[in-house]
This record gives sequence, structure tokens and C-alpha cells, in this order.
Amino acid sequence: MAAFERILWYANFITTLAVLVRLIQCNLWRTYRSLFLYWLVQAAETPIMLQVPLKSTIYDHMYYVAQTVNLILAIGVVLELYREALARHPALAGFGRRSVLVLIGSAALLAATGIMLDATVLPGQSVIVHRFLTLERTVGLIVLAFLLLVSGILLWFPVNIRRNVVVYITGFVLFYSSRSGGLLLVNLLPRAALQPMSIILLGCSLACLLLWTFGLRKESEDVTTVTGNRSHAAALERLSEQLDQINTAVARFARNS
Amino acid sequence: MTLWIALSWAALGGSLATLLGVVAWMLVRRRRASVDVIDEEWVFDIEHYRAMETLLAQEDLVFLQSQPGYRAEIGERWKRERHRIFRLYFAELKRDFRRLHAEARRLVAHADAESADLVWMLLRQRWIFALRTANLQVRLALAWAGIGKVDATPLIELLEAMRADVSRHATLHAA
Repeated sequence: MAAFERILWYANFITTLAVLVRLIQCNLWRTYRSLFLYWLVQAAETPIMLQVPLKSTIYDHMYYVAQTVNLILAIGVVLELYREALARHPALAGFGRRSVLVLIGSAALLAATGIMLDATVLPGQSVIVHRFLTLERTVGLIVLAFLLLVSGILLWFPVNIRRNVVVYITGFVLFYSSRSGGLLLVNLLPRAALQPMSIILLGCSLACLLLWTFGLRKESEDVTTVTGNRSHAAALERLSEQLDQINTAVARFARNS
Repeated sequence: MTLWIALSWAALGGSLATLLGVVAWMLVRRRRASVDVIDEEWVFDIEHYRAMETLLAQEDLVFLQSQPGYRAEIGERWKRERHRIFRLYFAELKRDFRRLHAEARRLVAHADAESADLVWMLLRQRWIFALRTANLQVRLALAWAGIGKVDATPLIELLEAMRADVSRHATLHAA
């Protein structure tokens, strides 16, 4: 491993610890349990992985296990995100519970379209590593697409979103965009490009960790919204009358056209 | 194989770019305090759209053709102008729909858990509205070229469904 790559790896490890400290310090680890667990596992994995020689079979096996655990935890993270983002809006939360499978299905369908991109294994590449990276990238894309769909829903409804949730989503969108793109390039480019790609991926990961370290704050949890207000029924009725008027106008137009 | 890879690039790249584009567009719109949000001064007035009823009526053209001195170019200019004015009204009608729909979304966002099914209804109706207005736009373009006739019935059915759904839910929650 090159010196710069090793420095970035250590920097990632230290910043991961900083994110964990931040979550504990701001008492956010109780709210964002999956995020906390995700980075706790990552923090535990890094020192173990550093002990193993990079180009060895045992490293490969440890990488498969670690990344599989990370991806399972990442799915937990995005589900938690979706739940937390809609938590203060009862009607949207109900919709969220029912729509989660539809969203995951759509995200999986989108990610599946990219499976063929790196179907060819280049000379010098391990078939198993190559296929695992394809799988890892596809799950990463599912996470990314799911986050984008959730962002779309959150933006479509005029709701107040907690600043921490925005930071949380932004970080993961950047993290999984860079990771999925990077893993694709690792499979597409010759082995000589592996180290520069690893440096870029570590750099992106560090940027996301820094975003969470400085972006997640205790006071950013305190956005309040009015929910379950019965007076909205009257407004909905007024709205229905207006839509009725539009309807009547277009009906008249259709009769006369 | 090459074709599959090309298709794969197109499908994945296209879908992700579209998703990212839509999210970025929504973000920009939200930051600009969207025009779709109903402000205190905006008043929806149905009288404004009464003119649409007669704009594309064939009777007027038939009457025009029966007049002495009528020439084909007069008829063409008449049709062109009527279509232009109709489009202006149609654009305003769509903007009003979007405003009212935005208001419905605002209400649903702050509604209680029992209103969860309204979210599905709003999603479905917005999607169908987009499809049907696109359909009407194509028909308007074809009608302008002298092919076919404008049919706004699907849009009307949608608006009727929307009105009925919102009204039903409003009554349910007011009870």
C-alpha cells in the first residue's frame, strides 16, 4: 500500500471515530441507531483489516465478509433514514411504511440495469473479486437509487425536514455515488488503475465522514411542524370545490369541442 | 454483447441522470419558494376559463365559411389564433391544477395518520394528470396540423376523480 493511501486509510479511521464520538456527544446515537452501528462496525473492521497483507487470500475473504456486513447495515441505515425523515408527519409516515417495498423494488430494478456493464473480466483480474465487486456495486446502487427516490418524495411534499436528516442523506448519496462509480471503474480499468482508484474512493469516503462529523448537531433535531390538525379538513373541502370548478370548466370545453 | 453493454449504459446512466435531475430541479424549485404554492392574494376564479368553451367550436368556423368574401387563408388564420389563445388558457389551467395540488400536498403533509391513503391518491393523480395533459398537448398539435380532434375527456375524468377523492376524504375527516 502506498504511503498516501495508508495516510488516507488512517484518516478515514480517525474520522470514523470522530463521527461516533459526535453521535454520542450529541446524544444522536439513540435516534440514528443504524448509522451509529454502521460506523461502529466500520471502525471495528479497519484495525483488523490493517493487520492483514493486502494481496493475500485471507484479505480477500475478510473483505467479502466485511463488505457483506456493511451492505446489510447500509440497507438498515437507509430504512432508518426514510422512517426518521417522515416520522413527524403521521400521514406521510403511514405512506412510508406501505411504500418501502415499492421503492426498494424500483431501486433494485434500476441497479439491475447496470449488471452487464462490467461483464467482461479483464486479464489479470480475479473472477471472484470481479463478481463480488459487481454485486457490491449493485447493492450500493440500490442504496443510492433508494435515497434519491426518498429525496424526491421529501421534496415533493412541503415538509420541514430536520437538518440532521438532510446531512445524513447528503452524506450517503455522495458516499454511495462515489463508491458505486469507483467500484465500476475498478472492474473496467486495468489493474494498474487500482491504486489511484483506491485513493479516490478513500478521499471521497473521508469527505463524507467529515460532512457527518461537522454537519450532525444536536440543535438540528429541533425543527417543529404542526401535525394531525383537524382544521385542515375544512381547507381540503375548499380545495375540492375549486377542483370541482376546474372540472366543470373542462367538461364544458369537451362538450363544445 | 456490445449491444447489451450499450443498452446497460443507456438504461443505468439515463435512469440515474433523470433521478438526479428531478431531485436537483425539485431542490431548486423549493429554494425559490415555488409559484405553485398558494399565497394569500391568489384567488382561483372559474369564470376566467369560460372562454375556453367556445374557442375551438366548429360552429364558429362553419358560420365564418358561409360569409361572403370568405377565403381559405382567413379560416387558417382564425384557427391559428384560436389555438394560440386556447393554449394560453390551457397553460393557466394547468398552473392552477398544480397550485391546488400543491395545496393538497401541504395539507396531507400535516394531516393525521388516517390520511395516509391520500398520499397514494395524490401520487396517482399527479402521474395520470401528467400523462393526460401530455396526450392533450399532442392532440392539440395534431389538430393544429389538421389531423384529428381535441378530446379533453380523459383529463376531465381525472379531475372528476380527484375532486371526488379529495371531497370524500375531506368529508370523512371533517366528520
